[in-house]
Amino acid sequence: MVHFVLPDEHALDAYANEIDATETGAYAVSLAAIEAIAGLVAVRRASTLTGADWYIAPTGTNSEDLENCIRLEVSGINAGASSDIRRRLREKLIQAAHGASNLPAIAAVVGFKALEVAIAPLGVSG
Amino acid sequence: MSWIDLHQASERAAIEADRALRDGNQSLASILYSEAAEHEQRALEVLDATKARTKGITAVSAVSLWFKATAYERAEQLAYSALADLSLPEFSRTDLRNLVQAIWTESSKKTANVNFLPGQVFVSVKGGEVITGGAPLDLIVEKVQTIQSMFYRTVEFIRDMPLRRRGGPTREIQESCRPWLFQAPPGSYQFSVAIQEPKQLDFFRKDMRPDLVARQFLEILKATASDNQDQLATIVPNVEYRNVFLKLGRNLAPTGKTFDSIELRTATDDDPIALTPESRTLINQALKKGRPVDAQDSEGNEEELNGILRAVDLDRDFLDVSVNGQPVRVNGLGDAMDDVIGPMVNKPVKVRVTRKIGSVRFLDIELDD
Repeated sequence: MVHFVLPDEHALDAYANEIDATETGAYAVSLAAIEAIAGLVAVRRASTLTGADWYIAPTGTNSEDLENCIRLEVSGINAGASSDIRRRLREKLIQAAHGASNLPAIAAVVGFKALEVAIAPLGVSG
Repeated sequence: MSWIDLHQASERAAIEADRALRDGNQSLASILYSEAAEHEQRALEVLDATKARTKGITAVSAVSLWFKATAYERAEQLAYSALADLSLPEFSRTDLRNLVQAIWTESSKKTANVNFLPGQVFVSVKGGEVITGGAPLDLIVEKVQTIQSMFYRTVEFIRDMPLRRRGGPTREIQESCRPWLFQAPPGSYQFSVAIQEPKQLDFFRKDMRPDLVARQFLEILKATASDNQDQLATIVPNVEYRNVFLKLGRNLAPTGKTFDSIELRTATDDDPIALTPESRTLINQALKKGRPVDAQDSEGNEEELNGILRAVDLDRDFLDVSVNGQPVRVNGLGDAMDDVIGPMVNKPVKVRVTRKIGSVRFLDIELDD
């Protein structure tokens, strides 16, 4: 069960763009899903060129630094079926295999039409 | 203050800055990003040297925040200083190099003495003959032309202009919203497209946010390649505009012979729109479904001509295609338009036609690269 505050008019205006809404909604849903299934919660956030990465750790971890935190890589798909969600997750795994990320990391793909969240650990590099 | 105190202060300011940006308050966002960057840079300075991973992430974060604050000199200075530290992990060195290139692009925009609309579209072409940082010139020229055409069509669409059936956009549109091409951070073959800001302040309707041109462009493109065509109908209610966007989207999508995919995104989107050969199939299905059944055409046999497009005359309503060295004239181009069909001249094409005795009539054309 997830409790949340209904968005007011200001919030609806700010997220009227489908891309923003999908991206932000995917962060919320994936963080809730990771906490529910793995007991990992968001502890830190760090900016990147194109946005920001979330870092997660087991509940109760003393996060004085990012040495043992796990980066959460999130994707949101507002349309498409389960196969699209699995394909996006495969793309994330391929990107990680090419060593483009600061790992260890977990990838989560949220499908708003299919009502599914796919989660997989990414490999380790760097 | 410790790393954690300073980093938390940076996080708070950055979240507020993101919010201000979404609210359209660019000046407040810049102030808040600067504040976040100051805290993050100080966090980097007080960090224990043995914490390599934290150092790498914090350095990238601090440079990104200066970049978002449009303080390009500070961003560049910190990026070089961090890159000089050999203990920095490789992942963060890659991110910092990409940031340096993005800083150069943005700085060159500033010195161009031209204002650009907020938001640019990053395009990357991948796979097949495309290598990192290099691609066949004709492929890139054709994709750039199609993206330019689609931007102009997007601007015309959001200005509620009647559909342009012949020729290029008006001089006013070309001069007011000229797309510019920039080099983008490497990885496959990448470039970015930014739209020059109109000098005329009332160029767009009062209820139209010009900073959404790039986003509108991407949303339309995304909807063209969706298996749910209701999305495109919602964004582009006008059926004729919809048809043009579908055809331009198909021109962008790969056949899979020369390259595998083309990805487009804005600077703030982690998830790009990827056009693949499957997208081309979906667009073809949508176009076929929306094609009016012409009584004249239904009497003939539908067939596909594979050849080189040699000539197009939209005014006289015909095109010539060379099939195995033999010229074939196809008549009845109907709603074919310059910006859709023009970039195909002298390139391999697939032309769907109906053939009756003494006449070959046009149904559809697409690139067969």
